[in-house]
Amino acid sequence: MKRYVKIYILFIRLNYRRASLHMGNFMTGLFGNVAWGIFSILAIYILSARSTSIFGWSREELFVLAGTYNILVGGSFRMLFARNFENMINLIRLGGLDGVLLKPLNSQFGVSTGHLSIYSMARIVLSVIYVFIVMSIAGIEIGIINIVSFLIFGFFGLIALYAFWFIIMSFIIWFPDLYNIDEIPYSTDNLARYPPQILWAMKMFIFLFAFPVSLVVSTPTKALIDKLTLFDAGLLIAVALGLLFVSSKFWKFSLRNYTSASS
Amino acid sequence: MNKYFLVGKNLVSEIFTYRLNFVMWRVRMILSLLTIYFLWSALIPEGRELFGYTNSSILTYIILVHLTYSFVVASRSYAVGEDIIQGNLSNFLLKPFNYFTYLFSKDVGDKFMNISLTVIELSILFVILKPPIFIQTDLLLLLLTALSILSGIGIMFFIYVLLGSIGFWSQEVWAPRFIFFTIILNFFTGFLFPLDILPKPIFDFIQFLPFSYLLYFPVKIYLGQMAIDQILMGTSISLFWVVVFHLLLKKVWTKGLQIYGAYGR
Repeated sequence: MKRYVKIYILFIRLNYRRASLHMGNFMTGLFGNVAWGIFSILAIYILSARSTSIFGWSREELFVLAGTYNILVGGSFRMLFARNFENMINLIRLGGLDGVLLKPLNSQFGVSTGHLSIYSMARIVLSVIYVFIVMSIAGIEIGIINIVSFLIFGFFGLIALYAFWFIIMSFIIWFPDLYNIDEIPYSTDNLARYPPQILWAMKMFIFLFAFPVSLVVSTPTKALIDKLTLFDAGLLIAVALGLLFVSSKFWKFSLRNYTSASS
Repeated sequence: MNKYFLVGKNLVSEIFTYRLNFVMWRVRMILSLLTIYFLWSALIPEGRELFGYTNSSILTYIILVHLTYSFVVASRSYAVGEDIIQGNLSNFLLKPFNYFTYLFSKDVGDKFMNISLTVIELSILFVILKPPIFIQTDLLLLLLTALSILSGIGIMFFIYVLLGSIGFWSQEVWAPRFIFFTIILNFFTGFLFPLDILPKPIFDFIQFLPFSYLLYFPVKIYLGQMAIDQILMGTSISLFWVVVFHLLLKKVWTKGLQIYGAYGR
């Protein structure tokens, strides 16, 4: 475990250096990321302009949900994992996975952690400030317990999202030409910025498929606004740990079918 | 002309070869449609009116925007930037055909496939969701809708190529494209919500920009929710942008070719 922490710290340093070397890319990435965050929140403002509640969420709670989406998915997940999953496609298609498999590392860790989008940090910071402002304007009290439980359930939310992405991306081993497979998790995790009831309204297979994603942001948000129930908490933890277990097993099973690019 | 037809036909064959990739793209579009559809269903339940829209009029709008998206936005011209950066443009410059016509022929193939799939998807969704349907019977409005879609296709094509032309000066073509696709397409074209729900000064301002003529304008004409003077005004602005973008592209392309290096070739 200690070794993995050391390696991860090394990854952070390397990514920081890479970001400072390509300042132009860093700045455009930063601008695009923050602008998208701002507009995604604006969309909620516009859509809910004349409604007091949507799917049982008050307008203020929806604003908080939009903010926590930006902290957890738009910020943290995009910073820690998204680029790794994008890279996974070429890693498997072009045979680069061989190099990862030969290293004395857990291959799941190896393929899903090396790249960080440092610029997403700005989106996290701005979103945290935004959530605090919205909550204080709306008169929603935030206690230390709310913050701690938000962090805990946010962590489980990230685990669930990570595992959800990983399971989908593992299919690349069977379908190496499916270079745009990330369209599926990208479009699905976008759903997390809306109330989960929107998925329940779909009443179709999409609900079952995207069910874990609907918990990723809504459960930590409920923790923050003091509306978390024991069932919500247990469900997210069970889904996150269950998916993580499945992702690990599925990856190992998939690797048995990996033939490398030249084989 | 035959060679350009072949380019479009080849694109269709390419899509059939990598059909699962195309399906992935369509799944993304369906998810996006369903999300917006159910969000609006919740915002405006049956029997209620919001922003001047009833449940049926907003759902019709959402579905028609989705269909218009396949006509106007579906394109392969976004690859111009990569062609320039990787030096592939040289291959086209040396061949006896017009690069822009080549790009447009590919776009036609792509639009054909996207429209076909959208019609199939919407037919399935109509059976499942039974949404309200509005069939426009006024021939003049149908003609004006077709004209506005054509000018939207023109605007979109020029924007794609202009964004790609950044590749002449910078390796970083991803960010402007990302900003355009995620922010402008979602918020200024009427994809996520009808633009007339915005505060009037913002709506009036947006009407002078080219983006509202990509999705919002054609759909509103089709729905018969615009007076004839508004349609004429909008069509003029839209055609104005087609001309402006055309002239701008000519200038940018000439300048770009002067510094084009095709490194490593």
